[in-house]
Amino acid sequence: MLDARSPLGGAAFDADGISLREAPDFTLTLYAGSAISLRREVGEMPDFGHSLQANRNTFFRNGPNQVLVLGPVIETRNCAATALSSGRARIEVTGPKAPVLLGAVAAVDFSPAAFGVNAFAQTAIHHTPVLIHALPGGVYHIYGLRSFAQNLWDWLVDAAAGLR
Amino acid sequence: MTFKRLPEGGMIDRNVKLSARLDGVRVHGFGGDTFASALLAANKIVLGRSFKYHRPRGLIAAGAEEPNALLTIGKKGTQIPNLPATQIELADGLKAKTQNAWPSKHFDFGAINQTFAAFIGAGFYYKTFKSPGRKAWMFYEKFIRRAAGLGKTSTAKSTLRHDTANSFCDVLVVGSGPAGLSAALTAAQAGANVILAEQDFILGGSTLSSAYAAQAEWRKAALEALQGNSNIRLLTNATVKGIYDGDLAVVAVGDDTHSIRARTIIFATGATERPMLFDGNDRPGVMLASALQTYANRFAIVPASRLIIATNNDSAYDSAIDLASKGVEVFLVDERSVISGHALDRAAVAGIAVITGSTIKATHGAPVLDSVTITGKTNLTLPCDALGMSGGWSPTLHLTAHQGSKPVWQEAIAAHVPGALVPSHFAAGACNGTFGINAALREGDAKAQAALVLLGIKGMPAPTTLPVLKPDHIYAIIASKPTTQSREAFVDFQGDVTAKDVKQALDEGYSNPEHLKRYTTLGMGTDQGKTSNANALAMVEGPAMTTFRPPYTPFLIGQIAGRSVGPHFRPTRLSPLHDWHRINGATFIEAGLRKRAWFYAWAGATVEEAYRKEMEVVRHAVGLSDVSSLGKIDVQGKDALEFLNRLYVNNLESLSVGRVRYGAMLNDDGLLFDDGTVARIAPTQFYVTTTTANAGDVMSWMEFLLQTQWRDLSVHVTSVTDEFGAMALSGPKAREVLAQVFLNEDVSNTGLAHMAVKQFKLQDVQVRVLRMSFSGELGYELHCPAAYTQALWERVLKAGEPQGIKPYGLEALAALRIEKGHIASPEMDKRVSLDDVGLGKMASNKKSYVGEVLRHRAELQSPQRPRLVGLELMEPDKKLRGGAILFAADDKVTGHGRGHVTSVTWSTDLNMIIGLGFFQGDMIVENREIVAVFPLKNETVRLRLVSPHFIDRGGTRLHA
Repeated sequence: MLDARSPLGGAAFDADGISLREAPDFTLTLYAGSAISLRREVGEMPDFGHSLQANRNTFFRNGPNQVLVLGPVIETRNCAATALSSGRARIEVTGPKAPVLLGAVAAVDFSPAAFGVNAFAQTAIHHTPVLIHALPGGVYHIYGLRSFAQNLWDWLVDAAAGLR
Repeated sequence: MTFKRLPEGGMIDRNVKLSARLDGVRVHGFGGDTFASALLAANKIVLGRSFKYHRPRGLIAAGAEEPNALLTIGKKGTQIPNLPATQIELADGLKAKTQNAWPSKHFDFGAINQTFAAFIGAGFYYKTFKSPGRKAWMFYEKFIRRAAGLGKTSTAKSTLRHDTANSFCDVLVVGSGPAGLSAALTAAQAGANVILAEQDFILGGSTLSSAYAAQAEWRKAALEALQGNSNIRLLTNATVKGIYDGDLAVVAVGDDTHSIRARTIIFATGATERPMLFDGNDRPGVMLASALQTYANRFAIVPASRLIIATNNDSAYDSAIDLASKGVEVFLVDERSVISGHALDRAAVAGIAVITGSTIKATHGAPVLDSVTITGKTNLTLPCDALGMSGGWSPTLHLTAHQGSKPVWQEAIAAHVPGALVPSHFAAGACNGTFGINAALREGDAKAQAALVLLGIKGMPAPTTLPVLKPDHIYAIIASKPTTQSREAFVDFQGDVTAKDVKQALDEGYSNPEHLKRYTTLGMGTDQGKTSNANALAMVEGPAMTTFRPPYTPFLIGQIAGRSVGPHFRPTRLSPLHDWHRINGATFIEAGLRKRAWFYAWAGATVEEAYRKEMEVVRHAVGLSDVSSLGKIDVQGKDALEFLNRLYVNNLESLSVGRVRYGAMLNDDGLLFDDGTVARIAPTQFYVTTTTANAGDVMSWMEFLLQTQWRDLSVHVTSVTDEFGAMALSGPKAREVLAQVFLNEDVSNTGLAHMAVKQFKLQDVQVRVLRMSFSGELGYELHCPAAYTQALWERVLKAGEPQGIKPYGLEALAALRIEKGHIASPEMDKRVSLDDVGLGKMASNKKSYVGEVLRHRAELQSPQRPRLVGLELMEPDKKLRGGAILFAADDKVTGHGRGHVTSVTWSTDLNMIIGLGFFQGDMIVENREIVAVFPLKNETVRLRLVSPHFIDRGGTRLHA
């Protein structure tokens, strides 16, 4: 197989109370179709803003008739499936200051009450579209466009330097 | 005039000794001092010169409303001008400069303007600088701009860091005076998520200016309760600059900017005392009575011996009594003849002499105050150290009006109060016209309770038992209109607008407050008229009001920009091959947000040298170029073909699986929108490529059409621009290289014909190979998942070594397509039609498509419309530039010409400079000589009109 390259080459950054690292190697597929087809062939459609874990997949409903699925590819006959694994960079944010850092870069309420485990938000960081996902253990994943990955990384590292 | 620091008292920390400098002179102070209080304690009275007349000016206020004492702190990269000394927390080593005076604030050449005061009154610039002649303003402008303005920004690059943050809360309380603290306590104790924003560097608001011990004790207890409550965030040095839609409050917190989205907002911003109008009311030593009270109680600074306070209301009695209690001899000059016995009794007990039915006629002293002339029932001149003035109070309601609420006039307090607020906004305390600390406490609590009800937050505490912190005295005021029309009585201290200016403007018909402001510059300084608006509007007939707009106080541009500076000025977009380009000698060029490989070091050190070599390689051997930036869209669904057929001008019905078609789409106004390719991957799946420049727009256009116009179509579109990297393999030896990469695939002319698409597998990675060419040579585009793009790129370069393959950059890519006559962004400026660029025949006449009807409108079919032409430079020693205007050879060179040049390059095939452009259609004759004029450089060159297809018109190379 040809050598795969992650968008950030496995970048990592640590500062007081905050850690950033690229979390590459994931499979991401967008499925679109009628609600009936999606439910029948892809899986249960979760609510907007909350991911759903089923089998080995995580489902993010990101449009009326589409769902983004993290995990193994699901074979469908009546839904459009578009691979997006190469087109996204994933950055993992951890540490006690993670919500503060995210609050510095995105206009989303990251307090535990408003953005608990499994919550996700489609928003923007430095003018570029991202999906931010809250995982257990105070871990957050940011999915950004590959072409903006370095820009996103630099912006996050710079913002981390500004945390007081 | 003399001030002194009392040996004890105040809220300063005398154990913390601080030293700063003003204009190089050392100034001492204590912890808790502002720069203003330290200067006052040091008897530094003249703190700058006024804007227009360069009159000596000193402190008037103790807060954000200060119009005069503006300082510049820092220097070069940290320099910030126009900061009120009253808002600068004193810090050890702080250096500041006074402004608007040269050579010094004590001797200022600009003061000569006072001699011409009669000629530079209201609106003088509108009248003076419009003559003689139409170009008069051009002459005057540079002098006026040099004279205008207050502080100066540094031209050095800023080294200040401004971070940003987003916060969310149930209740945002603005202001930490009695109403604000009370509201915050109630809301936080009920479980609401509260943010309290205070512009001062300590919390307490007006209670910090009070001499009452009970207030200090209550403030201390309230702050302890708040600090121990996890529901509240207390922000100091936090000025709410504006309230925007969605209850977004933009707050400057120190050097940073917070965007706070609040579900409810309680404004507890207090009130601002108004100056009085009399001759010499701007003389250093004349201050607001409440400011004198603040300096006495908070900073333990008082006039050395005698203070006169002029007033028209009861609140000044509190100031006078506080000052008298600190050993100052106080005279109260009350404009009113009828005054409450209670107020007079309190003054008498404090030993204050009250002069009723009188007011101030003029002040004296040069440059600082030494005496005051009183007129009215009593006429006398009294020497004094300071003069306080209290013309009543104006609620600080600016923020309440940012969402469109109109303030309303309240006769009882002779002031405007907030009008009907939006449902999530509340006003409490002096901001709402509720004067008196006990009333403010209760109103703060009540408004917090109302906010909680609105929020549906249950578990509210039992009604709070609020303390009585001091007696609330009746606030009585005489609401008389200013009568003075003197040139020495200043309405707006910062803008140097006098009572005479206002009167003159009104006489000239500028009676609307908005007109009055602009004509006189009233309220248009950095203080935004906080002390001047009320007095000026009182001179207008009827209760007038101005419009309040953000920001409430000046905002650093850096705080607005945040971290979007330097390399973060805008997002940068990189190719999946960026690292390879960087390591292998590419020079990059910005193309929109993208950094693209412009040319490579192997071909030369300069772009002029390199791109020609890179072109040669493509024309005679084979080259590889990164085209990952092309827009790529996955179109799927049972109606995908119908959708694309409606969108593109081409008839796509005949496009079979495995084939690619070059196509164009129009805007709904019939003009050319974008061109690109459509590849049919499967019966219901298409792979669309767009130009780099229009990738986002085309995607949005598709989504718009599907979501609003053609909702009946079952189609799903997904941008895969970032999912796929892409490279163009071009040149007569391209097939040989391709065959070496995909050893088991048939890449012959029959196996992979021109405009065919195939999916090849390379070590389990799917590669989409489209045979098509932008360069005009035999060409292929290889698209594969971005994660593998670099590996594929390296594989192709390795395979092509025997054929002499080299990478080529954007400049060569553009040059090659010009030679071939392919249009690109410079030719598709959203003003040209399909016919203008010679693609009219591509449009189907058997179906409808977006823009079809308007494409045929008469204007777009005119034979005079500029059409795409090829251009050959006839004077090789001269330069042809993009953007040059085209004229016929015998035209008079004037106006917009008959067309323009869009693209220029060196042609390796023709060995000359060529270009593309548009020229008037009915004058296009092959080999006609025309001229190109570039007025910015005063250049004119001779050109020859030729076909836009400079090479391989028959397509032999493409089909090789």
